[in-house]
Amino acid sequence: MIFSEPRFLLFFALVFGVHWMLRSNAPRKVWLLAASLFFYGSWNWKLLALILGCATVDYVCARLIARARERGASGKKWLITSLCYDLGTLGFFKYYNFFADSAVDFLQWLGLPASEVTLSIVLPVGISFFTFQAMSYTIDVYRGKLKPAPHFLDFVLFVTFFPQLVAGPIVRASEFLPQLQKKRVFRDVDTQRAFGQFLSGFIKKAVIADLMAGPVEAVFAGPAEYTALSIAIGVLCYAIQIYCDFSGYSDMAIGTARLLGYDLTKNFNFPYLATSITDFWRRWHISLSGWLRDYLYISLGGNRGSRLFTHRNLALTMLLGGLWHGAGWNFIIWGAIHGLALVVHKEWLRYVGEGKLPILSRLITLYTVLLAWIYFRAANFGDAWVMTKAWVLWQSPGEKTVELWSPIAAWPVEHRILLLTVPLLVLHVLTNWGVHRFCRRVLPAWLVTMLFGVLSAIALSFMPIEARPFIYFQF
Amino acid sequence: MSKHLLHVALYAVILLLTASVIRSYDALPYWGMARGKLAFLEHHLEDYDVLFLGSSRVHNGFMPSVFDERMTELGEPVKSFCWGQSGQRQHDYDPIIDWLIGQRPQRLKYLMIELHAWVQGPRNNNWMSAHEIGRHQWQTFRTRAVSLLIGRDDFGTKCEKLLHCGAHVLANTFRIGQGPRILDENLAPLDGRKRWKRWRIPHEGWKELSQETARKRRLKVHEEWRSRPDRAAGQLAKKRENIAIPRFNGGFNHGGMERQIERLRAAGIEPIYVIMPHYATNFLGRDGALEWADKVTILELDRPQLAGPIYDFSNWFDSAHMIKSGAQLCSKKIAEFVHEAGKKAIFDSK
Repeated sequence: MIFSEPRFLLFFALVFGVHWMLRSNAPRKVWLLAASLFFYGSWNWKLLALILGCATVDYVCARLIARARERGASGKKWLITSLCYDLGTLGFFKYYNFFADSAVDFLQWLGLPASEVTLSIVLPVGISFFTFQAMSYTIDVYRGKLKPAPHFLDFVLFVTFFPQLVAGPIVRASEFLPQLQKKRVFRDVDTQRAFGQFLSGFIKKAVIADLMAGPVEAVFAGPAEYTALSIAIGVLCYAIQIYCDFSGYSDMAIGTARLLGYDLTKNFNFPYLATSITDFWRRWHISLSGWLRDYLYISLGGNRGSRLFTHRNLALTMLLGGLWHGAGWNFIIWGAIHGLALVVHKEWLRYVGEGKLPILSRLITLYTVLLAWIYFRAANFGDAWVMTKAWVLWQSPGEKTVELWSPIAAWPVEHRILLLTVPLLVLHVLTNWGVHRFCRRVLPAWLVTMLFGVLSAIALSFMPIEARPFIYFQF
Repeated sequence: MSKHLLHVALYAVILLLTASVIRSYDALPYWGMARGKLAFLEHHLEDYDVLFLGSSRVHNGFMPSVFDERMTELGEPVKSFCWGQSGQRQHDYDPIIDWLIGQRPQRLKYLMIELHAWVQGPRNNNWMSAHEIGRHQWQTFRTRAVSLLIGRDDFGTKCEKLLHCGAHVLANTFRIGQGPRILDENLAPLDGRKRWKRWRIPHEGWKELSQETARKRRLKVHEEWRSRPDRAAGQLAKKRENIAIPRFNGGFNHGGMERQIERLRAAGIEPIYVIMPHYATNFLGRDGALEWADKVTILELDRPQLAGPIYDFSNWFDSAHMIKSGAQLCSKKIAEFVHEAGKKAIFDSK
């Protein structure tokens, strides 16, 4: 069940209606937990044991850590137990085959005998998200930043809360658990704002991202056949697709949670308008970059050492961030490019200074981010290399041009890309300036509602019939 | 709370209004040639005495020029049009018949309709193809639902099929996924293409099926079928012996049939139902159709003993579609049947 499907709308209408019909907090939490488990179970009922197991282990470990701290001990062994369980689960389901395959390849490369050890493992939806969320909780309790959740029900709801369960944002317990204690009143919910956020997410995902999928799939399926220009357009379309897909999902998640009276962390802040690669990571997948900074980069020592030490930590954090996205060398290379770019930016700051050459800095940032997307999306290293040469050296490996938007088949590719990207970019900049907030302030509420109705009808009309799954579900 | 409900109502009304504006601008069914032929007939309906509404078997198997020539030889000169469209089935005819009656044709005498057994199921078992979704309209939902409910499917399958039909009707009401196509059709002149309303419909609607004209998927089916003449001969032998009648899960929708006939007769158009030939399978709704044999003309070409040389292997492209020589024979046969039949059914009641 994905947010842009009609059955989700039916599911949510039921959850929303019952949630606000219930009078007090406790039954509402039970209802939301039941709905969340049903939502997750709709993918695979058997995997409910996995998420409930993760929640139980982390809840118990956090309580044991707190008890140990009361006795004056550190509770480190319980933290290690919790981390081993979470990382073990993640490692087994997500990375076992990757590491087993890589080890076999390596042994075979050395000329040593090695047999296939790949297992048929189902990748549970959202495993990277809920394990990271649960881990942050025990680490925060261990660091003394957070008291353990008062009730098991609250903690399980925090881990399984359906709006953010399968693709984030990665919510921190310190932000979510206090909300569970608050009394919730429907009139306090800004429903128009929440619905507007859901609708904007729906348009981003179901219309823009899914329409972009066509040209992206064409180019990435066989880049060797295309011209450098077509490859560049394919990469640009992918940048738009992944942004709209992921930020669209996050918007829908935040909008859905808001309609139920909960606030989730902002996950995107116009990343392609970033002034530097460091700024990009403050704007892209904010909840993950914040998590990596607080629980990995700082744990590695952060910038509390020599320049080289800081650079190592940055590169390592981004490498592991790449690996978090998926079990594949392409993700590691993607992380490495970002790690290297962050290191180069640190040196840029040292030699050029903060805020200097802003236009050049923005262009270099965008160029690097788009280069890295090639490795994120390419089917194999060979394709990625062909595309990199086209992107960097403008070498055309083939003759074919991309059909960006098949209906306007005869339009030159350059025109077609303008047709889509220019209005999107203008909209992107305008919303960055807060035009949507201005409109909501100036326009009467009924007019905004009418505008939503018109936008919804047009979005439905332009949404491809065959919906594509969210890209980040695979992570 | 009442303020919220007002906003919800306002949102729903505006959403529906906008969708209906898009619908009014883009009212005709939108799968492939169905639009082209409708737009063509909008301007040429008064040129024809006979229209033949049906599936791809009609689209490739009925040659109006041959039919007209034979009718003239038999002393009943007519001009006919092949209104066949790939995938078109019994339930799809209703909105087309509505449209036809709305045009108030003066010259039209007969509307031949390829009789399908009111089967309600997706082509290639895929409910989510654009073609499948595009067929579902409000006007056809009731008939579809009845056909489903009277069928022999189990309860779960009936619910699943009904859900799909309902969802597709909603998808069509809101014109989901049609924006790019609408834009494309209107931008067509920019790159030298004709607007769909000006598409040329050659050969009075008939399309020759051959290795040159067939699409890739059909060509594959053709090659596979033609490579096994022994299997085809076996299928035909079984058909002759009438021992291969498949189980019919659908319910023959007598109410739907009655309404179709009544509406056409009230508009002064005589319906003639034609069971088109098929090499491998038997017509599913024989039991149901038999009940109508004395009320409306039903021509049956599904029986080799009635259809004669049409069933020669060399006339077929695959088990369901004929090549030009088959289409010629079939069109002649239909002309002879129509001439002989009058209002009497030519039907093998065995």
